[in-house]
Amino acid sequence: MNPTQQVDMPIPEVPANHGYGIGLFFTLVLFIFSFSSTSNAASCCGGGASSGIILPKFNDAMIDMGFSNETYNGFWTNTGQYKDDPKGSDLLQRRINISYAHRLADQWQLSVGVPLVDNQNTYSGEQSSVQGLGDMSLSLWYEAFEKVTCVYRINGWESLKPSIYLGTSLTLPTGISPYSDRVDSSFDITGLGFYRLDANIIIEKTVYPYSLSWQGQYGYAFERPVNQEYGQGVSPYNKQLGNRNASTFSAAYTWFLPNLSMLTMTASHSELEEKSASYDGITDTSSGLEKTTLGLSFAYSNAIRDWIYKLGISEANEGSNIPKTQIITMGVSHVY
Amino acid sequence: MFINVKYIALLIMVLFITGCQEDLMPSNDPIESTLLSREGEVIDDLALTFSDGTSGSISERLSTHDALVLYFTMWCPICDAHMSHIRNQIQPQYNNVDFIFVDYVSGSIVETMNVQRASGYTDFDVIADINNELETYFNGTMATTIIIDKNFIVKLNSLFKTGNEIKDKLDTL
Repeated sequence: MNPTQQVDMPIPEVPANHGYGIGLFFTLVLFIFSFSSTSNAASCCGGGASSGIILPKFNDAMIDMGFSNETYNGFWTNTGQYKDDPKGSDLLQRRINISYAHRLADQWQLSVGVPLVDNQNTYSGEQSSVQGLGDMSLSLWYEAFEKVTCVYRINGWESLKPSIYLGTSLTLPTGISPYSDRVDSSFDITGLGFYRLDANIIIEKTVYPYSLSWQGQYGYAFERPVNQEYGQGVSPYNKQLGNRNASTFSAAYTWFLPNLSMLTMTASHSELEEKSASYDGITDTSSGLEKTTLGLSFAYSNAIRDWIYKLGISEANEGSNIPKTQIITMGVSHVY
Repeated sequence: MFINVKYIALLIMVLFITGCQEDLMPSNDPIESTLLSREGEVIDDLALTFSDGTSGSISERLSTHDALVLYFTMWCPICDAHMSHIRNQIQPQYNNVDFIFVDYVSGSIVETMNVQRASGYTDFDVIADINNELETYFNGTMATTIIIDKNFIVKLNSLFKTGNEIKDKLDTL
């Protein structure tokens, strides 16, 4: 649908173009952190699975470029106990994420995400610097709604209808994994080394200027053969990571600025869990991970809504078997 | 909307072809050039330096135990998970086996002791592998696990997997 076409939207209080733009813009903004929380590469846990970017309802394509800076500050043990990193440790992962989304049909869209990763680590006196491609992702989304569901006021049951997105993502093991010959420790990796298939759902409702959303994700990692780990040859075995599920709640508020541009603040709460891995079918009870992350982001959109600038911060505040990290994200999206 | 299947197919193909930087389907053979396992070998009586400044040797440790288990740690989260598993799930079942962690990264006795304390493993003996002698001898890396029996024979030289591989070997001693 062309953006200038009529959209079913009750009693607009701002120009029509502004109206649908807000709804579409919310979709972009709300998923800044749902994307980053599940795709964070955290050198120990690799690239993870990502659900990719979401293309606004009435646009044909979007390109998104983001830069994230992830710093490490200790870790949680498998019992959830927090421990500091050894003295003198300095762990940093920087990522450039380039994503492209393309509309296939009125309710279908496809997106591709390409992360470039830079690891700069000093840990227990060991220094390493690794740069490379991360795990790329390919996502297919179905929009289970034909008309924009964001409203200005609740006016009967019909106006409560949310936007629902159903999707699937395939994570490709394109990064440098623990099973390549280019790493010496878990801090060097840029990817997990496994194909992963995720099922995703997003439920979002906007009643201007407020918006709420929930994103759920369930991922299955495919078993793979391994004959080297951390640069050392090993007797061959098959390894499978545990299934991964993630849940993100987001709440947003938008300020409509005088020049018809918008500024949106989004707070998010994410939970990530990965079940235990297995070796030749035997469960490794010391593996698996959990992480809870809180995030706050701001997004500015110009009046035409074709450029969106994003800035955010998220921090893990609870977990097990995973480093405690803080991620600062900056990005820009352009829709066509 | 018209879907250009050709471009989509091309995109997917490019992703798969250009993406992978490693062999995702390796053969069932170990990588001979890098598989420097000492499994089955009779090893030398190596000297050991501990984080409390004391010295020892393999023969000393085996004089009072049936076997010696060495685990190479860099104190990272994955190492901690393995060490915790060894402490809670394996060591209690093998009272006559000597479990020792090998710090191959800290570079000094003082630093090894500091990180041992900070990580909460003062109940274990930790080797400060200052000159990387053990690391070189066993081709050690993160999570390398070694089991040496009474006869100085290396019964296991591999990376930690589930911990069952350690139990399986110890059960045969």
